[in-house]
Amino acid sequence: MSYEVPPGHRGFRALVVVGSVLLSALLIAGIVLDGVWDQVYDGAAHLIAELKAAWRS
Amino acid sequence: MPIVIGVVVAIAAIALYLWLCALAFVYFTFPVSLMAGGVGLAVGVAAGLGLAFWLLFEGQDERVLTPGDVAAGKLRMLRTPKGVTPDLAWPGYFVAQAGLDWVVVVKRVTERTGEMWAWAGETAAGMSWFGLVMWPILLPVAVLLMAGTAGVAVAVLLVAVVMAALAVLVWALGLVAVAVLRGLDRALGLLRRSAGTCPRCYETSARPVYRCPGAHGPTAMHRDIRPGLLGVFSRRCGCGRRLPTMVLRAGRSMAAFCPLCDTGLHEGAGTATDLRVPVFGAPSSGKTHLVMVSIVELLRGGGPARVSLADDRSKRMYDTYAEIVDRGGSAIKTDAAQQPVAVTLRFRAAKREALLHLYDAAGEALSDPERNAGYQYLDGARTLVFVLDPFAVPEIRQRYERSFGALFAAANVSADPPEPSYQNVATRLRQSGVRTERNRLAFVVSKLDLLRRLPGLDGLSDENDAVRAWLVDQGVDNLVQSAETDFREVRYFAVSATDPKLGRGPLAPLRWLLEEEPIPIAGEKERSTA
Repeated sequence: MSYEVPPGHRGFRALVVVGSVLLSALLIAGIVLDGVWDQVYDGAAHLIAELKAAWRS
Repeated sequence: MPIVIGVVVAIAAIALYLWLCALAFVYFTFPVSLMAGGVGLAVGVAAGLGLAFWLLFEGQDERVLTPGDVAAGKLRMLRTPKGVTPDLAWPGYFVAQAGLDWVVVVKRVTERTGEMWAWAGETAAGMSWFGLVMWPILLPVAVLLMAGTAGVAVAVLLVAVVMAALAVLVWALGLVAVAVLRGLDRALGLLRRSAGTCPRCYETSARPVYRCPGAHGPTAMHRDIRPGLLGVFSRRCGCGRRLPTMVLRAGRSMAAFCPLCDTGLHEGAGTATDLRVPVFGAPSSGKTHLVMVSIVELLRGGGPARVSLADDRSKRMYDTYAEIVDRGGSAIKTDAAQQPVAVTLRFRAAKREALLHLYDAAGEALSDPERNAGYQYLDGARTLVFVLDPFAVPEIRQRYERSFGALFAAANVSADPPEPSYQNVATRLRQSGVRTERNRLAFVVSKLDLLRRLPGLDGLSDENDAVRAWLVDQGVDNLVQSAETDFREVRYFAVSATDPKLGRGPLAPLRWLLEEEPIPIAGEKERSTA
C-alpha cells in the first residue's frame, strides 16, 4: 500500500539526503586534506615494494 | 620406474604451481587486491548512499507510521488519557518516521548485499576445484566484494549519523518551541479567562475538542490540539488538511466541541473570555424576571462592546423575554423538570471577545440536593447571583402580610424562606470542592418597587450598605453572615425588574460582577448617557 506522506516528511527526507552528501564530502575532503589518503597510498606502495624485494632475494 | 617418474613429475608440477602462485601473488594478487579494496570501499559507499537516497527520495512505503496507526495507539510515546483515542494526524518526521526510514534502508541494503554474496558463493561453488586452483586471480574479487560490503556499511552509518544529528537538533528546537507555545497558549488563556462551556453537560474546558473542516466523521475530532508530537506549529490531519496547533489559533478557524459529550460549543469557545453566572434563590423569588430584564437591557443598552446572542436557543429566549418586558408582563415560571440551559451573550469590542452564560434554574430544582448535584455549571462559576424575595423574609411576612394582602399577592411571594435556598446551593458548592472564598456574590433583593410600598420603606436605598443594614434589621443577619463568610466579596443590591429605572437598575448586579472580568460592559457613566 502506498501512502502519500505529508510534505513535512518529504522535506526532512530531502534534508537527510543533503546532510549525507555534505557529510560524505566533508569526510572525503578531510581524508584528502589531512594526508590520510597519501599515507594509505604510500603505505600500500611500500608494502608492494617490500614484497617484490623479498621475492627477488 | 614409471611410478617414480610419475611422482617426480607430480612434485615438479606442484612446485611449479606454487612458484607461479607466489609469483602471481607478488606481482598480481597483492597489488590488485589493495586496489580492489580501495575501489570496493568507494563503490560500496556510493552504492549504499545511492540506495538510501533512492529509498528516501522515492518515499519508501514499506514502513510508514500513518495517522491511522497513531489513532490506533501505535505511537506509544503519545500519551492520551484512558479511554481517549489519539488524534488522527501525522506524527512529526523525527518522532517515528526517521527511525522507520533508517530501518528500511538497513533492511534493503542488507538484502542487496546478501544477494551479491549469494551470487558470488554460487559462482565460486560452480567453479569447483578450478576455482580453488585459480585463487590468486579470484582473491582480488573476494577482496573487492568484502570492501564493497564494508563501504555499504559505512554509507548506512553515515546516513544514521546525519539522521541522529538532525533528530537531536529538531528535538531540541522542538521541545523548546513546544514549551514556549504551550506556555503562551496557557498564559493567554488564563489572562483572558477563556474556556469552552458545554451547553448540554456544563463541562468547562480550557482545551475544547476541535473538528477538522474535512468533517470526516468521528475521526475529524482533534482532542489535543496543543503543540506536541503531532506537530509543533501546525499538524497534518489524516485527511491531509493542515491544521493550526494551539487553542488560541485553532479557535479562530475550527469548530469547538465539548471534550466530554462532543456537543458543539459556541463559536470562539476556548479563545473567548468565558463567564458563567448562575442565578439562584428560592422559587418565585424573581430570578427569571431579573435574568430576563438584564438580558434585554444588555442587548438594547449602549456600551463599549457589541452585544449579541450567541446561539439560536438564546435568540428564541430573548424574543420571549423582550415580548414579556415590552408588554410589562410577568416571567413564565421556570420549569423545574427541565435541565437549565444558559442564555449566552457574546460581547465584542475591538479584538476582545467574551461569552457570558446566564443560568436560571428553577428554585425547586436548586433546593433539591439530588438534582442540583447535576448542575456542574455552579462549580465553574467565579461569580454568582443570589436573589432574595423580601416578602418571603419571615419578619416582613409576619409584620405586613395580613394588612397588605393585596401587595403580597401582587408580589407572588415565594413560599420558601430565603435562607434554605441559599444554604442548599452553598452546601452543594462546598461538597463539590468549590473554593467559594475565591468567588464573588451579588446579593440581590428583588421586587424593590413593591417593597417600597410598605410603610416606612418608601425611602429604602438600593446602595450596598443600606441594603445590608436593612437585611440585618429584618433578621436575615445569619444569611448575610454566611454569605460574607463563604464568598470573597459580597455586594448587596435592591432592584426592581418591572421598573428598570428604579435606583441603579436591574443591570447593576451584573455590571458589578463583570467589573473584574475582561468583558467590556457599559459602566454607570455609559449607562446614564446611553
